[in-house]
Amino acid sequence: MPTLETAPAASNIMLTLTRVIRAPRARVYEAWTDPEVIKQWFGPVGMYCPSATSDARVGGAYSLAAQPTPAAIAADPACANRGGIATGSYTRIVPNELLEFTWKPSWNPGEQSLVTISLRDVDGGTEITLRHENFGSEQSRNSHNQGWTGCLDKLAAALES
Amino acid sequence: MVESSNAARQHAALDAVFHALADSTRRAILRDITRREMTVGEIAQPYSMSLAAVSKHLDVLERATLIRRERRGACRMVRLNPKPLQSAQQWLDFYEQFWNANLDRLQDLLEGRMEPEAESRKSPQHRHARKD
Repeated sequence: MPTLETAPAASNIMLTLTRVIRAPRARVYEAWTDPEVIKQWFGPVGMYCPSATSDARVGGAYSLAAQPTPAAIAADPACANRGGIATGSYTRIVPNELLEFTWKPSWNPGEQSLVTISLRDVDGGTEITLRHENFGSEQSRNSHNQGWTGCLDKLAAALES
Repeated sequence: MVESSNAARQHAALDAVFHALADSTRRAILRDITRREMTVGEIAQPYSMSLAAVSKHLDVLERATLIRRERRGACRMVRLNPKPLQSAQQWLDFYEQFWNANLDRLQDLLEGRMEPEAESRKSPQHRHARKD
């Protein structure tokens, strides 16, 4: 079950998803760092990954491209221009265990966010936790060192009622 | 990279919201006025701080358009504006869907469930080359 949460004393908005994949940890890690494997799965709904690069070391760069599939374009020609690319660099790496990287999507320039993939062995396979933290844009990053706590979705839900 | 002015406006707006929410007193004030609008005096009452200090917090919240202030007779009323929180919520909603779709595909691939239909995600030339 995915959870939306903010950590106590967090300085950002954070999304956390967890699931168990029935595969060894090394294979899950490889799926995130080997471009030939990445291209087989990366891509939001209706999109595929025509190219990926990954220099899996601290400071190394990566890129993930996403383009609409021919089927998606046939169903809706307007989506033909909706491709994009996410780039960034790795900030922390523990092979087969942790991968942390900056996330700069072409569809939202200026966004400063960080993705962390952590892997651990569980009964039946590998538990993968994906955390995506949004620090705001470049200007805001330096101006506040104290975050907001509380549950954004609960507050928003309360506001909408 | 040069941002469109619209994107720049949106970033500035979201930054103002982040800054407003980065303070625990301001978050508490927002929670207080979620249920109903309040006067400045009512807002200040639970906190051991001067009206001037409360007003400074309200200034930050107003710049982020998280609250609206108006005078009604002798009263200074403060009420919540929910819209700005929605853009932060939109970011969360977008990436929840984005990453769930990606994790679904990752899981399908690693658990041996990648459908033949996945081939059609690639370009037509690629597909034809693989047909033998």
